[in-house]
Amino acid sequence: MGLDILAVAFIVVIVGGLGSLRGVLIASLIYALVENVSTIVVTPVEARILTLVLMIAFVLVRPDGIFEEGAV
Amino acid sequence: MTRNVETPVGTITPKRGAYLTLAVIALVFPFTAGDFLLFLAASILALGLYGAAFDLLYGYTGLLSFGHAVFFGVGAYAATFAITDYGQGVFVGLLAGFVATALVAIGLGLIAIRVSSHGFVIVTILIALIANLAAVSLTSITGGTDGLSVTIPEIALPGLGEFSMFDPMFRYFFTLAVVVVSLLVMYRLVNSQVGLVFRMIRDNEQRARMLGYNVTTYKLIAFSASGAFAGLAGVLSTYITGFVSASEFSLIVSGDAIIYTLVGGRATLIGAIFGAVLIEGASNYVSELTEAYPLIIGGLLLVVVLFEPEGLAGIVDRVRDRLRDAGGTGSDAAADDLGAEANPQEADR
Repeated sequence: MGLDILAVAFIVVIVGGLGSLRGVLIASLIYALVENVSTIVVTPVEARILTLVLMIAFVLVRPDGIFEEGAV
Repeated sequence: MTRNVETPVGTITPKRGAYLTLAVIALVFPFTAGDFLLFLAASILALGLYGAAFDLLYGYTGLLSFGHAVFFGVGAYAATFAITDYGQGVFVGLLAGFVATALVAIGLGLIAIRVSSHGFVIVTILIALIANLAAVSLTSITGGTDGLSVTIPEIALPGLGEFSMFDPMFRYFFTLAVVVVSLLVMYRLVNSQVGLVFRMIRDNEQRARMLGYNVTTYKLIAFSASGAFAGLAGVLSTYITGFVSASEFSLIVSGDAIIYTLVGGRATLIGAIFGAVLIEGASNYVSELTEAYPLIIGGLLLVVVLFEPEGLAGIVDRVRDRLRDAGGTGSDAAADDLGAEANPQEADR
């Protein structure tokens, strides 16, 4: 699996909010759904890039997690 | 008691002596080494510069960036395009790499610096992943993971004649010169007023903001300077291998910079070069012995981080303190401490 799965886990935890189980659950669902559903319209690589850009937007708008209830 | 040595040209303090020894080693070593060792040494120097550039950001400003592979890759490709598509020379290639990476770093910095701590780490990881995916998939431009080979043009030095990058000796000294100049510029930067603000941001960002410093601007300066020198390292690595590929953008390349810096010692700049020498040198020799060399390198990393958390530069400090306690009156302590900026012990708190 290597670095790929590690990076995805880290991304999801930060986007969901450190210490927020609910946020991480939602974030992981969003990440996986966006990446896979968008392959209907775009190529897999573009889908991946689209998902990552979306995650950046999430972090910029909600730095403390989706529900802003993280422990940190 | 003094450990200073008086010579006709000046006083040699232990610190200057250490630098002098390093310089002599760097200048004499190539004449004893074979072609492969020269190639290895040049690559290690380029990677060391890359580590030092990362240290400029992480060691002095405290921003942990996982996105330095982007700068390394952008620098490498900028030089490649300047040479192959626009027919420019080696020095224009260096300049192109430096400027292009600085601009890219400013652009990315404007996004990443808006968020703090964990957010910064994650945004830089995301940027690195996006750049990697883009570079791998845009095969018509970047050559994908198969890469592009570059024919490095000859360099005409006034009064010295023409030199080719295929000459291992010249390649080594060219790399050495660029690395030394870059290190000097970085030292100048971190020991200037701006560098002081960098350290204040690392130690207490709140206070820096309260004192009226525009923290975001200073972070952006650190980020782009760090990125520009990482780009320069990317250019050098392209010159050394004559090859560039999309794998320069992979996340593991970002990890390398972090490893060199942590092994060598944080906030020392030159420590990253020692780190690169240790890690790359060790992996070169160990990989001759066994296929499972990453296992051994990983063990080596663990040992260094567990027993010497300040890195290799920490060992130097420790030995110096031991010597001073043993008999020195500390006559040159003040002079040493002026030079030994950002003692890592107090830096991390």
